Amino acid sequence: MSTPLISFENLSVSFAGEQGRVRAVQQVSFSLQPGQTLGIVGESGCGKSVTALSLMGLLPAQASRIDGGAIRFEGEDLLQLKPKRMADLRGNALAMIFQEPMSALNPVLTLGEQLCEPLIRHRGVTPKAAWQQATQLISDVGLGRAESLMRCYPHQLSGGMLQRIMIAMAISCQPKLLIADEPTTALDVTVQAQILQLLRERARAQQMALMLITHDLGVIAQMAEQVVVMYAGRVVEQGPTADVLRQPLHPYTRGLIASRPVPGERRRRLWSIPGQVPDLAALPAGCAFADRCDRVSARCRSAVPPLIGDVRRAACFHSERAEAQP
Amino acid sequence: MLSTLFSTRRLRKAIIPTMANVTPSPWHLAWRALRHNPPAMLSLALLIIMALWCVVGPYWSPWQNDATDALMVNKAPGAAHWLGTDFLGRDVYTRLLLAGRISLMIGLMTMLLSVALGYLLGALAGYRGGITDKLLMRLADLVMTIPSLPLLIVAGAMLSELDFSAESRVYMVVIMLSLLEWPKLARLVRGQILSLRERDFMLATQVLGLSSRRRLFRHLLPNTVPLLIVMATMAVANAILTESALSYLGLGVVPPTPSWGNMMDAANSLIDFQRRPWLWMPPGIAIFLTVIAINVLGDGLRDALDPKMKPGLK
Repeated sequence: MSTPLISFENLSVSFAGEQGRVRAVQQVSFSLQPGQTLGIVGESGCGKSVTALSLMGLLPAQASRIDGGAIRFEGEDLLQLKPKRMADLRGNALAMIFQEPMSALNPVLTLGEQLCEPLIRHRGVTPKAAWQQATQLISDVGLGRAESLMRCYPHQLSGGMLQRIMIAMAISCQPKLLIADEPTTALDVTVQAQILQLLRERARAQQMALMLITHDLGVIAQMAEQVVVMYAGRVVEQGPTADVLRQPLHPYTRGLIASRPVPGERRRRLWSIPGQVPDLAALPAGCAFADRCDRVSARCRSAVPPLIGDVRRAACFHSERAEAQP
Repeated sequence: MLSTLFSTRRLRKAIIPTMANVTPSPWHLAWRALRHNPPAMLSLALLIIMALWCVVGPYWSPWQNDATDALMVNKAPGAAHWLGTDFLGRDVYTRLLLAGRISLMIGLMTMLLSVALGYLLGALAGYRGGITDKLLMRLADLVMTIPSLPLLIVAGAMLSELDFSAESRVYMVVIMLSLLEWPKLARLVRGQILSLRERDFMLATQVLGLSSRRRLFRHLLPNTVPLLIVMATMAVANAILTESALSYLGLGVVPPTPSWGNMMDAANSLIDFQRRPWLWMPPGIAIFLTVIAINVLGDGLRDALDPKMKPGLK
């Protein structure tokens, strides 16, 4: 395989909390090939967003600390970059869109003004040329009447339309990676599919890698080639999406799949994983999932299971692979 | 079935105008909201008329500001002197208009100076944070804890000792008032900036890799302009009121320069107060109307500019 576009190498991030350090992300390693779509899935507070923000270099400076590891972008460690170089990459080679398109656009500027900004900043084009390119971008993301939309303010558009604008803004400088942090969570179900379709289409058209952060396995199944399952700040399972969903190795992944509502199956009570995500400031010594797991043994409580495997990896002492090994 | 059809058609009609080529800017919407607020529009009209009257009126008046007339002292209002004359035989109407110029000018100048100071320091404190924030805000607290009127009285008394000319007294008053007014504005601006700084769109500008200068001046500060307008309006009323109080006490603008406050000084004497209401009623009413009008307008502006009240913005 060629060199990965992005690779996380044992990344650990912690925050200053009231009861000591909150270890939000621990020993996270995975990589992303150019043009590939990777999904990160997990419950709220499992470290998905922190992983993405540390890639963009946007962790709050005072509160957070990188405890170790590296994030390589085409071989270059992003964590060691100077702020100025990082600012040149952001919005240019690395782009990101957020959950709430309504609040991610400045209410006092027109959409056109906001769309032109990254083009002028990173591509060095004239404002006039930027305006034309931005108009083209609006049509590219499937919105009609681009000329008049350019002069609109964010409050005049619906959430779905604004998310399209956000995507247009993010892809304007032809990034190599687009991070989408729960891009459809705030939208209507009917619009969700369209936005996902648009993301997939643009990613294909521009050879852009997509990092999709979500808690929705349905989205992952549709979109991602690779999936990373995170729990309590660690990667617990990783592999090709189809394999992971069809044959989950980690009990947490199994739980996630089981607790998905299936339309049509009415009578059955919706299953949920018992218990709660442990406090990240006071993690147990062993597997963080031990208290909620139905296959828990003494070993699980004493040591953190390592993430093992090659194409498919899982961090569980009881997965078939782990048991096969000595 | 028919009703659903009907309602969708109605809905579509309602959406089309907003999506049409004319896209109203937030300022447009605010102006539209203000226009539908009768008290605010009435106040605005009143203020414009009063300001124009004060500026233009004296040119049409046959009387000079300083022209005294020993034979026409303390005359009641009549055909020649519409609002009577004062104890030196000066025309009260002409003096009222000239005083209006001074009082409004002091109000506006104090507003400009204190808003400039308060906005700059507040924005700096909010955006930079850390030690800058702490220092500036403690300074603001310090100024705010001192009761302003006694402080102004002391400062006014000191100015009287220093023997400034009557014209430069006006500017001294402006500076004094501004130095006491800025902390309130700085606090408001700082609070606003602190909350705006954490909003998603500011994070988004960072994601786009924009420079911090651009983020501050193009994205952050324009969002505080509505607050700034409201604050500035209220500051004018406040300055006019404080100036009047100070001048009434003889410590602000001093005669012969007229101001509404020092014209009210006539009410100090019991005889003037009881028998010659034309000396103190007109400036009193002028102060009252101006301050009320500015405050009503300020309220209207706040309603119009508050993004949470804006139709179509969730």
